[in-house]
Amino acid sequence: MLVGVSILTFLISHVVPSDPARTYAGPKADEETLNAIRERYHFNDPLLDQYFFYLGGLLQGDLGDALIDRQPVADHLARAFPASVELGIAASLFAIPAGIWLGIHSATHRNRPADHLNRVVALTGISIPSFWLALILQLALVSWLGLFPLDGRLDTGQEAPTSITGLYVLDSVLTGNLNTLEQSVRHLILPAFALGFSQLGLILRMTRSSMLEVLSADYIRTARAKGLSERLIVYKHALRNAMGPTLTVSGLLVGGTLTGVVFIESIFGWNGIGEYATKSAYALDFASILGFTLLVTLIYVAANLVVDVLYAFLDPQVRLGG
Amino acid sequence: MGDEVLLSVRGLKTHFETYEGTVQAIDGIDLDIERGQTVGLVGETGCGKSVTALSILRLVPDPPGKIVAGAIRFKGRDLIGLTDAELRGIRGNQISMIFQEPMTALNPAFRIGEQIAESLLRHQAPRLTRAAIEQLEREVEARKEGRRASPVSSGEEWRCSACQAPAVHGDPACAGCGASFRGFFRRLLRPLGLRWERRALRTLEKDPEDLYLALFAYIPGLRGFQRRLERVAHTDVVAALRSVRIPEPDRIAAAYPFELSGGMRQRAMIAMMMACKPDLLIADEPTTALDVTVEAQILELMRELQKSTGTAILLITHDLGIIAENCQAVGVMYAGTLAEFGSAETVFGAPAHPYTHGLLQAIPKIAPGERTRRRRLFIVPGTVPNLLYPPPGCRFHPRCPYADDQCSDEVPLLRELRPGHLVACHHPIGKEGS
Amino acid sequence: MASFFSAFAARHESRLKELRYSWFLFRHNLLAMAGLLLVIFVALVGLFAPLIAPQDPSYATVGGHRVEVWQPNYAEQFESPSAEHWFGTEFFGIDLFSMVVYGARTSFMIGAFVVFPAMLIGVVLGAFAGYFGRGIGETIMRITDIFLSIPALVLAMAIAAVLGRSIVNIMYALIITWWPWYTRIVYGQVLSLREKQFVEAARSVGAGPLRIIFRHITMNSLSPVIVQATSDFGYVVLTAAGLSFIGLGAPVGTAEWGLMINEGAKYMPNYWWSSVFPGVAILVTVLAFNLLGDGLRDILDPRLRR
Repeated sequence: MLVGVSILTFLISHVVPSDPARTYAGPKADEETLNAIRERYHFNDPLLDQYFFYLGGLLQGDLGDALIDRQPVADHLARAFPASVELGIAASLFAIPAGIWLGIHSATHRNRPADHLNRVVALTGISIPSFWLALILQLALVSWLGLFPLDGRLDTGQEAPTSITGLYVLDSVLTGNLNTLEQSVRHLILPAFALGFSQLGLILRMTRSSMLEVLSADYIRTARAKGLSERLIVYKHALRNAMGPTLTVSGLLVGGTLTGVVFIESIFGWNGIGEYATKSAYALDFASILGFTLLVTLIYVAANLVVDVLYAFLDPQVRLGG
Repeated sequence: MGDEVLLSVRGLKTHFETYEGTVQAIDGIDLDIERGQTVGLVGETGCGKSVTALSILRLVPDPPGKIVAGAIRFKGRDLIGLTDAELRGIRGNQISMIFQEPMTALNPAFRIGEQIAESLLRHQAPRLTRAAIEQLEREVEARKEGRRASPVSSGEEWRCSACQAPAVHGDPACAGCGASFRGFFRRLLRPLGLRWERRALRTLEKDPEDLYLALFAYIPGLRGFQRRLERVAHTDVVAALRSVRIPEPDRIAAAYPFELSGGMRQRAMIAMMMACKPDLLIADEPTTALDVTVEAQILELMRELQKSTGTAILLITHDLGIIAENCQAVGVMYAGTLAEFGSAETVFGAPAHPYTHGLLQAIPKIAPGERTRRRRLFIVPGTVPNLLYPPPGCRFHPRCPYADDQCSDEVPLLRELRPGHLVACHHPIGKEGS
Repeated sequence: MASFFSAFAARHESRLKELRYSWFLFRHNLLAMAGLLLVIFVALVGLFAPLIAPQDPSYATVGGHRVEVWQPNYAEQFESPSAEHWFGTEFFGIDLFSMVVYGARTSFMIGAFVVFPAMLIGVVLGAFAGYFGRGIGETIMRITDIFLSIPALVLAMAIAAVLGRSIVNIMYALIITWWPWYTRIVYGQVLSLREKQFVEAARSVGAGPLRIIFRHITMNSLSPVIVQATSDFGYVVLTAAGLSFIGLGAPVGTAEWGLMINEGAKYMPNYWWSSVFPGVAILVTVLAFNLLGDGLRDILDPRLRR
């Protein structure tokens, strides 16, 4: 599967019309430098050989060199990664519980005002361009109301906490640095919300429809006939069976978060892989873009695998092979 | 068979609000069920039998259905006026219901034993909590005396080495004598766990619906009290499964519904609903989805259970044969109304309502040995009316061979033709001759 | 003449009845109607852009592609919304309302030219994969899975970066990104329908595989595709805007909503309107398609039909 993806990215990278060696070297390089570059990057070799070099490099963690500064793409990404992880986790921690809770609420209050409100929120969430939402939030909450900081992960001039995980909030807690803790949290709120809002919509809709379906099932009627309280029925009997589709959707959610960071990070000056990708896109730095693509795909595939495993774990039928 | 009337329904009307109008699903049902009696409710598909059953337990989904009139007196109280909480106390406890589709009626995500235990823990919490506390005290005593034992297995079963009571392998102590099963280090921490469990159980004794404990029941580490309750309930669970003649009840209790066949699932459902020894069991087409042989087994099981527990049964079905075999009294429903009600002998032997008469005539008869002449099967002409716009007067009159103007003008009320035999008809057969 | 119509009606009576029932359900579904009206509204705005917008662009050919050229008017730079300029003006003094209106045209075009081809490719591939199973089917699905394992925007980004900035290139990139979803849907449907008895019946009357695939199976599996395609129209617009936002999409100067937001972002918060209004347009458009898609799903869901 991943081999397939690598083939794809390889092919894409070779659709580039311009001469790759020249792009690396710059417009003023002479023929000799160009040849040296061609040798180094195997540009002269037949396509199939090039692919194998590419694949070999990948397996060693080499994603090629960035066109902008000739530093390894892998290094760039590694440096930028923790910031995105922090943002992604924050957004998910907000979106998933809220989405599930609101989804349940919506399903149990079907067709009443609360339900309609939730559905509107969810619909807006999935329809809104996240970059625009980020800008609006900045406009309203930062410029007009001054509630939150504009960008960056910490206040200007503030030094980052000692790096253990790369996640500022976590590092602040671990090193007991209350100052950076407060700042990093404050800076995290707005971007996490902007990123998570559309995920919230997705989860809400999924949970709502799944719960509605489950709540009309026969075994729920049986549970009622047993005299169980409504609360028990919803949160134990129904939820257990309704979580399946929501879990599956979480896989998609990771994909959505990964794409969302591309926008959100550049708007909030968050130096994660999304911002790196945006910069590379502007500069048409193909190597970086493709490196980014590969990394994102890897994470996405891994996340879906985890979801599959969890699903098997949760569903007794799959577990016991019934 | 006592003469005490357990359930008395009068004038029950349930309507459904739909896109196209109001469906008058049941329009004035009267029913009496005595203690320990088996009453059958028979009729075609769509005549409102299931709705009647659901209405009794107030299980009709509220949008779109509503009970618009009537009284349902159970043990002297009108079920219609009761609050939700009171109703929940009755469901599964004093009145139980089993449904038609055993394949989908059990929650696929939980084991059978869990689902039965849930019923017990819901309705018999005080008894079980007290039993759990007693077990806890036994363990505390045994701990003080430093008694130890270990679970030993003899092939299939595990037993306590000291007192031979059945034991479960992962338990901290014996359920029977309280001797500790644990090794040295884990025993040291036990007092804390026991202290917590005692507190939890005491609280539950006073308030079984305590919110915090409901939550704590799911947190590993704090679940001890829940596990103990489940263990105590387990004995009852196994007993319930045994009472419905399920083989290897221990193994089945730990199984998931998808591992069982349809007949087994129905037995499990019966076990679950009979676990609290209800006074009335409503069985809504319990065997319609099962094979004929399994059907016979289940019906026999129900008869046995009735003999041993004295539970009254309201048996709903479209199969006249089942009614004849199992019921003392039977009500015939048509298009949401009760056409006839009486003892099985009377209704089958001398049906008074033209519809009942038609139904009985429609049963194909195979007369062995006789020369079978080619004869058309008898059918009652016409079709069941649309309950959005039921016919005026007697709902059966468009199809009735004896209908006249009175039948289309006046709704026939359920009247006593003879003692114990009620008919809703202006011209019942037997009174004026057919 | 009349007899022709009545004969036609008689022959297709049941299907007409189904359609009339569908329309009945649709009309009573508030959200679906709202979605439909909004979609029509946006489409009309785009269609009649030259009539609605006070300012119109001219067109030029740059690098083999047709680009929009808007006449700058530095005197009226960054005017706030007023009676003359409903949405205000942007950096070059161009009337923002006009740009937004023309943006509708651009977005709608992108949507249509992406969703329909992608649907076509996807459905055909999916149908073949599903019907023929082993071998061809597996290969097709493998390829589909590879495409699906890359998140949509990221894949589109990579392709668009490589192809260069133009509207046409966005469309290519998005078509390549979107077709796998339809293949997956149709594959699943065909797989389950293939075993159903009406296929066996058709086969027993001598229908060849092609006829079976297209007439019987595909027709029956189209409803989820239609629902998905409707919502996808909106998502394609959203993704295209996103691509333009990061500079991989519409060339500078085009009236494309995402691009406008990007341009306007530099001058926030002072001249907020140049980013806010295009965003509202995107929101309304995507919302419209989602509402419509939801409505269609509700009425096409066999369980909800009486």
